[in-house]
Amino acid sequence: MRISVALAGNPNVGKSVIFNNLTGGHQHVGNWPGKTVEKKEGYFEHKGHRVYVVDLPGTYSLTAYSPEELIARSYLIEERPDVVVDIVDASNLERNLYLTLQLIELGVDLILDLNKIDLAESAGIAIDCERLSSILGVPVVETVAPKRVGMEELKDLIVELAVSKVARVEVKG
Amino acid sequence: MPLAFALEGSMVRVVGVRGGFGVGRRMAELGFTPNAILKIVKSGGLGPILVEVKGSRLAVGRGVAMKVMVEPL
Repeated sequence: MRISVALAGNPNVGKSVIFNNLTGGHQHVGNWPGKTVEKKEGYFEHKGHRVYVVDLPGTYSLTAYSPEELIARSYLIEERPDVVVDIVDASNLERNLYLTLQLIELGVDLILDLNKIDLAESAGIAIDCERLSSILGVPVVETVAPKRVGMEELKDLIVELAVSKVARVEVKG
Repeated sequence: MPLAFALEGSMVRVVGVRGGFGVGRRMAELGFTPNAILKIVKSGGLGPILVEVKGSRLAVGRGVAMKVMVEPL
């Protein structure tokens, strides 16, 4: 099965690091916001499925003002990827969850990726993932992208969600 | 006072955005919500003001910085 996934999130949360981890690519990564200004594509194989990943430019909201925000928004709305992974900076949830809510309202099949969970822990922030997941109604995964922590769990979730989506559509159709 | 007049290195609190609906919403999306605490990282001379807000550093142009009203902490 061919699965398409988009990586969305605020600027400088680690989308490109996760993209590289998933696809084995070497997308240029920098520790400053606005590094990715166009979308990048790659793929990986997992459990017999080929998963196409698109790395979108960072955006604070879906109300697009700048050209790179428009790229992110148009892709989500026009291309309708099977799964959207919303990557958030776990040490800065307040700012990041704004976009998360917009993505939920858009009705995409969402996975919430709490990245930089190590930074959050060292800042004394404890996140109750199960509670967050049940409040938002989306699966949550914790990752530390540069150390590749949580990548397998993320891959599992992507495939699981995409497969269950096909099952849901078939039942309806 | 406007954000444009806040001193470099100081901390301020956002009181509101004095402008139209569009600029108010955009600034809220970027984190400039009422009561948000800002740190003025760089302000002086010409050019935009560098502000730290909710864990992100943003450059704010002088025009918009005149519309964001803050109070010193």
